[in-house]
Amino acid sequence: MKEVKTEPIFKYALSKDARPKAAFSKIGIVGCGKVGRDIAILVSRRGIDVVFIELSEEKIKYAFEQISIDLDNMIDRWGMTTGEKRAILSRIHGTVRCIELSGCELVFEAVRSKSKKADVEHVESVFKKVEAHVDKDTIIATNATILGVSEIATVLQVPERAVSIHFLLSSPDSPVVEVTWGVKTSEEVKEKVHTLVKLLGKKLIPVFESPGGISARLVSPLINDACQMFLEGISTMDDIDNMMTRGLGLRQGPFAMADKIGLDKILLWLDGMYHEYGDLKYKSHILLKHKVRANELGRKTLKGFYEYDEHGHRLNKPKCC
Amino acid sequence: MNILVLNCGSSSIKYQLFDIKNKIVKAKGLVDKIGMQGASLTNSRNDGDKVILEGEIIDHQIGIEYVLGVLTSEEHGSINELAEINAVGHRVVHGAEKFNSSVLITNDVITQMENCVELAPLHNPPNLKGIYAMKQLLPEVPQCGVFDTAFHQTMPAHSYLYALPYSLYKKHGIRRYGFHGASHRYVSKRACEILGVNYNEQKIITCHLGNGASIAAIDKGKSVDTSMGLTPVEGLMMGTRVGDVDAGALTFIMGKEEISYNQLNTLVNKHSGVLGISGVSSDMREIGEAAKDGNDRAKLALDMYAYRVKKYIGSYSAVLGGADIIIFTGGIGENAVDIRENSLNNLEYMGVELNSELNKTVYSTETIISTDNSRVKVMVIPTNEELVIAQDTFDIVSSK
Repeated sequence: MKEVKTEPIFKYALSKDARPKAAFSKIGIVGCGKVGRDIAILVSRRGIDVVFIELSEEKIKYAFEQISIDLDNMIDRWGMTTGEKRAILSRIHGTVRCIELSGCELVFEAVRSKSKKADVEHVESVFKKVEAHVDKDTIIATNATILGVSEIATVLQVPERAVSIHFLLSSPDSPVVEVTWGVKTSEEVKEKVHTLVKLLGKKLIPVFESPGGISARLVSPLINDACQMFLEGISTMDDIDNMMTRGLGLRQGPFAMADKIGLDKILLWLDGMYHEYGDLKYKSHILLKHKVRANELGRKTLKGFYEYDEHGHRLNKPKCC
Repeated sequence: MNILVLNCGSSSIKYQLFDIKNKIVKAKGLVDKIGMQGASLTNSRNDGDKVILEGEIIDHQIGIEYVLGVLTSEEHGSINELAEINAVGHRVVHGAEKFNSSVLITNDVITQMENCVELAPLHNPPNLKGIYAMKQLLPEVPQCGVFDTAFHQTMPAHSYLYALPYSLYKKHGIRRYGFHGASHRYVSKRACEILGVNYNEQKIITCHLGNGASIAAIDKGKSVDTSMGLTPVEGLMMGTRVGDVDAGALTFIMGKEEISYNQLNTLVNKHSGVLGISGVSSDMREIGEAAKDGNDRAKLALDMYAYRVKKYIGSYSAVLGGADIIIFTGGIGENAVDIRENSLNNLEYMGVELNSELNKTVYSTETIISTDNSRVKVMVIPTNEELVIAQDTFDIVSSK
């Protein structure tokens, strides 16, 4: 029997020049906090390489540990196999060097601040830095919900490449993505983003540029009102949630939903929208503010409106629920 | 005439280059881990030359490009130029009710295949990727689609319908379609050739036992029932798929485990079957080793596996009014001696007498493993789905 040879594959390309480039083979993420990590998993799961930028090696190490925990939780809840976890991790690369964003077809900005004003400045600075290191046709996207993408795009030399892609990361199984085009976003970029969303197995819901889009703008006042009803003693949190789930068929009631999204995030949304629209319905409720000040942010801190164990299961759930 | 057969999976491409007139496989291979690190292409030529090519293979299009590159290469090639490929045959998993035989692929056919995607969201998209890639790379070469479901389109309504509201069948096409059609067709015909009997007069039960597994009841050359259903999850216990399970149990699990539809899908497709019961592996060889080492759950998995096969054989014997031939094929059917023995145990009442001593010696070779006196002939026939695809492609292209 002849010896089996091993050779590099590129020698056998039919024509290297004519080789079509995959629409999306590498995606960058700046900031690997919860949002960045969730996007990294979402993208890598679909076979696309991910490179994420963090400020230090410690933060990169921490991000990988957290991604590993998130994937283990998905395995525990039957959503993934260990083989898929290995494949996902093998496609994610962390670095402190922005230059490694070179070659990415799209870069997500996923850094967040405590206020809208700081956030705008932050995102603008990230957009500028990213543009300095990527190819001329790389799309630069923000996952921000309440920031206007046209405003942020003004700092770019090529504002046509900016877009806002809002994944509903608190519901990773959600089949839809809200996308906001900037005033100057080019048709080519729109087409590519349509392709990416399709590659990620989701449906694109286009939203005219408007802080809060559809989801945050509708859900935040609902949570605000639920807080008010609770404080007025109209009903308990459980029964308010029950009314909305069992009565109106929502998958989660406002309090359970708020815990899943994160109370700090909702507060940021409300403050941003109140600042933008000036409507009192967006004025953040005092109960929400208290919870955030006490660092009771929802499932991620194991306590928000309800309490949770480390697997995300609710504690002290009344039997009727 | 050279025919390239492609079987595109989610992250792999299996291929064979046939010289169909002489029934020779000139080269065959596997592109593995597409879109992942550690991707490779293994090509084996019929003269024993074998090469493993390593490097980035970002998608199916690139993978197929490399396949064509190695097939025409000076060092490891089997043909001099791409023009020597006369036709391409594709395995397509789901053809719904639209396709009851293999077809020449036209733009209209592609549109119809795209409409079948929602019935096989894991399998049909990679099959289509292969078709798109070949259309771009070899636009002048005819391409044919051979469907896993087509052979079972002869099932009567009382066999293919679920007892769900009839409106769901009319609205969404919810029914049993069956899979592994090319394999069931090939081994049943081949058995008749070997036995020298008329295919159109036999009652045959074919057991395709691979990582996915299905059994078919074939009456006078037509599939009349099969164990896989709307999707390849139904029927026998498989490597990681659950097979038959109470639908009520699934909604109960969703409530108890607080899991979503997607998580349930992964649970029944990837965490269940032999792997789920044994907790060891989905690979029967590893399960066999573990059982020998005294692992009770591995032994339980083997017992359950054989029991389910036996249950279906009994059931299809009832459907057919007895059986003339029972065939084992697929990686497990061709090699797992104990599974064959245990699933045929105590079937003497229906005329099955296994030659146990002979059975123990048969691995992936065409053999009659029943005794000479057995009324039912039991056979091991290695499957050859690629040959079926190549032959169908040849027949379609030749008749143009």
